[in-house]
Formats: sequence, structure tokens, C-alpha cells
Amino acid sequence: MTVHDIGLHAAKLGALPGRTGPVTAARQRRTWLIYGSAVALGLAPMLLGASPALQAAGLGLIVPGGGFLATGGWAVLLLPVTLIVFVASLVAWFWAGMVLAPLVVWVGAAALAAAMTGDTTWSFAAPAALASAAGIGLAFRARNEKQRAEGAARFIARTGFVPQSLAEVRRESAQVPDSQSREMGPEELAALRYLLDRALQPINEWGGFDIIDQFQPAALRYQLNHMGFALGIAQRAYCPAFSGYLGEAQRNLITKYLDRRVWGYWVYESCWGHLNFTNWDPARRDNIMLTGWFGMHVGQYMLASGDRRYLEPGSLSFKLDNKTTYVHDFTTIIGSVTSNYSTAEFGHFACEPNWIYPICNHYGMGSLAVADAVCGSDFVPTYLPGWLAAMDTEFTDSAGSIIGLRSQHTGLPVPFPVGEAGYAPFENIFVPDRAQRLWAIARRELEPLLVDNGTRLQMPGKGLDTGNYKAGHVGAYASIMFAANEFGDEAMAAAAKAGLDHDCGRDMTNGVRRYTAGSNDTNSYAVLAQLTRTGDFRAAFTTPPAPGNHSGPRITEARYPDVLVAKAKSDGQGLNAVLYPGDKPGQHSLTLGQLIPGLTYKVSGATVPQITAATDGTARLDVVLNGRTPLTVSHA
Amino acid sequence: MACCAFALYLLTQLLLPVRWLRDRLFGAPRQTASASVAWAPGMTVATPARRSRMKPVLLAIIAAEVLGVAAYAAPATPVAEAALFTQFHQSLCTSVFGRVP
Repeated sequence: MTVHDIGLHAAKLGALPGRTGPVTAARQRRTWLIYGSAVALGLAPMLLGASPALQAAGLGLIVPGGGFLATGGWAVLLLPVTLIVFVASLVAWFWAGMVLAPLVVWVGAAALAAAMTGDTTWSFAAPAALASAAGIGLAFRARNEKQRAEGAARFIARTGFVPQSLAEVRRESAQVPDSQSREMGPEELAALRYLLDRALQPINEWGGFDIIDQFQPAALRYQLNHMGFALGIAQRAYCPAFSGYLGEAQRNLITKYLDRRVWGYWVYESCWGHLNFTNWDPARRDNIMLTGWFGMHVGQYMLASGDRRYLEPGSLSFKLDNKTTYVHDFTTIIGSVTSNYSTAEFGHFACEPNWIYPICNHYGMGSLAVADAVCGSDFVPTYLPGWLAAMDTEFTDSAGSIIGLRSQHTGLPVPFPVGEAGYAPFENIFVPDRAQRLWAIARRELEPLLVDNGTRLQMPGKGLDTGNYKAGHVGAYASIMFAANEFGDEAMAAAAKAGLDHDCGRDMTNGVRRYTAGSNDTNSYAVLAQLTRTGDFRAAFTTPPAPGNHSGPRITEARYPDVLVAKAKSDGQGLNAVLYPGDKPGQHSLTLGQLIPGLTYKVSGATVPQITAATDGTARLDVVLNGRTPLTVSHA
Repeated sequence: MACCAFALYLLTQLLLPVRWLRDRLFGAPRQTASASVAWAPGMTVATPARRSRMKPVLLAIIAAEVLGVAAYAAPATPVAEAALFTQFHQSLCTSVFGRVP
């Protein structure tokens, strides 16, 4: 057993305890050099006997609020207050790319201390400021050392269990369901209805969405993307020969995404993050949280449906106001991803200005994969080697796990909770071998959370729902269930589903399933998890549906929610579908399309035994729905 | 003052530990079902979660106290303190906006 066997290349060995990648190391050296210069500059007024105000300002450069030590008296209490505000400013920086916030607090506090300082300074101010800075530095160093040691221990533990776990994952991942026979059952349809209800409302209505902020994970864009991913799975895996309301729902989500309320955050982030006050094009510099995610979303729809409308110039334009529109289509969105990768020093590029999230870069590489599948390009072979090398050297910790977030400007890492289970399905799109290793690690490390003889997962604590910032475990359970299903791990998927149902307020009202303890975003993720089976997510971005589904007979119209389409497959000649009633049993009409004009087809499962296609290749028929109803259409 | 809006945002971040302490001492507020998740077609607007009956009363008390203190203190504010406030505002805000907004 070697470290290579658990997915760590020789390059990654250098990232084990105490080592960092070359770009990260260079950035960190620069950061410390700047800070060292600030300390020297800060001490200079005191050493040179400058005015008390300048001495206070100088100490304020050593540590945020350090200048108040020179002011003395009650003002010393402003040091801890400033430190707290400084932490808050870091939150603002992280939260919304507000690069100026920490700088304003740090320099502002120094300036305030200078203004408040009288004719004398506290004699111990300089040693106290240096001690404060050293104390903070040592505390962080001790924490980092502890984390490095814990990571190394976890790494060693993983070398013990990964070989067997990986063998199981490979065996389970190879068992792909039969694409022609699979269909959605009542549970899947009830989950799907949660999304269809929201996606089929008028474009300018947002019923059922969480509208909180548009910067972080509760933003509308993530809700739209996750809903789109789940509908895309329904389209490709179950209903490739059904356009109708399923296609309309997906296109509605894409159109909603172009609403300024969704992408307008970039106007602010461009200003306070890039200091760019003129060009707010969301698909230009950074912003992989839009281009990568939206690229995946739109590409998945086109690959599953065969609809290529978003390749048309201007089809994905972002209208700022009556004067300014940022004209885009699928190829220019992808072009933004590739141009950013071409110049990314870290090998990955940022979401918010400065902040590089590997999870969003998984979406970025996913968008290139689906672009290759739709357009025949070769972006993945071009960019993946550098992407992987960067992952191994710049974004891997001592446990061999992916570092969740790194500051582009300072090189410093920031804790951001995305575990192996979160990355694995996305990596499965473009590098399945590594993805299987990630899942092999995740499934074993989740085992201590299994209860009820291993049949149910039980997440500890209150959890956090990233879709509404409240307590809750819907997202965690859904992520695990999604990954488990993607890798064919039925036992873990069932345990995660049991945890969801047990802990998250499962509700089934009027044929719609939802988890009331979650947000719209995590509920959407739960639908994605519910619909996914082995390899579905990878296939949704790499492989079109089986031949015939896009050219043969298809259901083009069905009334929602009266008719629920659980399956619609075509071999190019006929149609094989399964329907369910929505709210109540009854007789309903369907329209079929892409039939051969004038040809008579044999029908089973409808009120008539045969139909003849009109000159436009369509035909209408009625079906009586009372439970599961198979419908087949074939040449007479 | 635009910069004060930013300061207010920072202040809200400071309250996070207070909320944590409140949850530890008095227990977290009862978790309510998400209104957005409960939404169904035909509902025009997602209804917000039920608010605490005490909230408006508490807000009114706080507002009365703040307004009362302000009304009492304003005429008697020493010149030095007013100057300090101006100095504070200028030093912080001019560094952001280049002028006093």
C-alpha cells in the first residue's frame, strides 16, 4: 500500500505536513513581507521620536487597533473591539468579495487612534502591540500545527482502509442501470413535482424560492442551478423523448437566471472587489460561481434535450438596463471559463474577487466537459492536467483532502466545509478514477454516523442549511445520498434517505414531496439525489441519451400536473412511455411529435388502438390514467 | 452617511456571539417550517414565518429608549464630544470615499 494508491501523486507528497504549493508559498511570502514592512514602518515613529499621533498611527499598523495602546486610558479597550470589527471585515471580504473592508478597518483604526492621542503615549504601548501581534500569530501557528498533525494522522488512517473501500466502489460503480427500462416511481415523481411547481410558474414570479442575499450560498443562482441539474437528470435518464413541460421548466430556469436580480451581485463585487466601476459583465473576469455553474446547467439541458438554442449569439444575454446588455451565449460563457483558466496562476480561478473555491472550480471543469460533449471541443484534455496539478499542489492539505477555500491575494487558506462526498460526484464527470477514491474515503468516514444497525445516517448537532442560513441537515443528507447514488452505493444512499426522512420534516402534500426543515436550495439538492442512479451525473454532462431519443417519436405536449411522465424513451421508430395521473385519475390528451407524416402507428395504453401522423408529424391521443399506465407507440 | 451603512453591517456581525450566547442560555428559537418550501402554485407570495408576539413590543421599547436618550442628550452634547465624533467620521469615511459623504 502506497500513498499513490489512495490518490496522492508524488507531487502531492510535497503538500504533506508543513509544505505548500509554489504559488501558495510565493503569495504567503509576499504577504509576510508586506506585513513585516508594515511592522517596521509602524515602529519607526516611536524609534525616531515622532509625534504621539504618528506613534499611535504606527502601532496601529502592527496590529488592528494597536494604536489605541499608545492613546492609553480607556481607549485601550478599543483594541479588542477593533479586533472583533476586523474579524467582521474579514467576513465581509469573504462574504461578498469586499476587498477594501479589512483595509478600511485596519487603517481606519490607526487613523482614529492618531486622532485620539494627546500629548503623550503609554510607555509600554510598543511592547504591548508587538506582544499582541505575536500572540495572535502564535495562536494561529499552534492551531495550524495541530490541524496539520491531525491531518497527517487522518492520512495514515486512510491508507489503511482505502484499498478495500475503493475495490467496493469500483465494483458498485460498474453496475449501471439499464437505460431503456428505468422509470421514475411515485416517490421520484413526487420529488420532481416540487421542482416543476416552481419552474413552471411565470418567468417573473419567484414563489417557492428563498430570497435572502445574492452573494453567498442562499443566492437565487444556486437554487436555479440545482433545480436545473435535477430536471436535467429527469430529462436524460428517464424522459429523453419528452419535451413538453419538462423542457419548458428547464428553459424557464435558464431565463430566470438572466434576471438582473440573480446576477446583479456582480455589479457590487466588481466595484468593491475589482475596483472596476465601468464594466460589470458577469462572464468576463473571475465569477466562476456564475460561469462554471451556469455553463454546466445550460450545457446539461442542451445535451439531454438535443435543443441547441443557447448556441445562438445573444441567447444568454445579461441585461443591465435599457442602455447596457452583456451579450452572451453558451460558447461565450464557456469562453470566460477557458480564458480565466488560461491565465490562472493558481491553476484555479476565483468566485468572488480574491477567493478561490475548489468546489466552484469543479463546476468550472464540469462546464468544459459538457461543452466538449455538446460542441465537440477538447477543453477538458487541454485544461485538466494543469487543473489537477494545481489541485494536488496548491489545494491539498496534510490529510490528502481538498482545501475548501484559499485567498488569491494572500495565499492563506480559510476553512470551508466541503468534504470528499461533496466533491466526488463532480469529479466523476471528468476524472472518474479520482472521484471513486474520494467516495471510497467518504463512505468509510461516514460509517460512524450510521445508526439502527447501519440503516440510517444520523448527522450530529444542528447542522447548517446553506440555502437559508438556518439550522438543518437537509443539505448534508442530500449531498451524501447524491454521491452514494452516483457511485451505486445503495446501502449508504438508503441510509442517507432514511436520515432525511427521519430528521428533516418529510412532507407529502397533494402529491408533492418536500422537507420542511430545509431551504429551497437543499430541497432541490434532495430531488437531485432522489433521481440520480449510478453514473447519471457523469453521463448528464458527457454523453447524450441513446440514439433515437432525439430523432424518434416523442411526447411534445402533456398537461401538468394532470399527466406525470415517468418514462419516455424512443428507439427512433417508436415510443415507450409510462404515465401516472397527477392530482386525480382521469382521461387526458397528449400530443406526440416527430412521427413520420401520414404513417399509421399502433398504440397500446391509449383510448385508440392506432393513430395516423398529420403532415407536420404530430398526432393527438387520449389516455385514461389511474395509476401506472404504460403507453407504447410503434409502426403498424 | 453611506459609510455608516457599512459600519452597521459590521455591527450586525458583532451581534453573532450575542445570538450564540442567547441560544446557549435561553435555547434557540423554535425552528419553523420554511415558508418557501411550503409554497405551492396558487399561493401568490410565500408567507413569512410567524413572528414572535414579543418582538414588536421589544422593538418599541428599544426605539423609545434610543429616541429618549437622543432627545435628552442632544442639546447637552459637549462640544468636545461632537468634535470627536466628526473627527471619527472624517477619519474613517474620507479614507473610503475621499470626502465626507
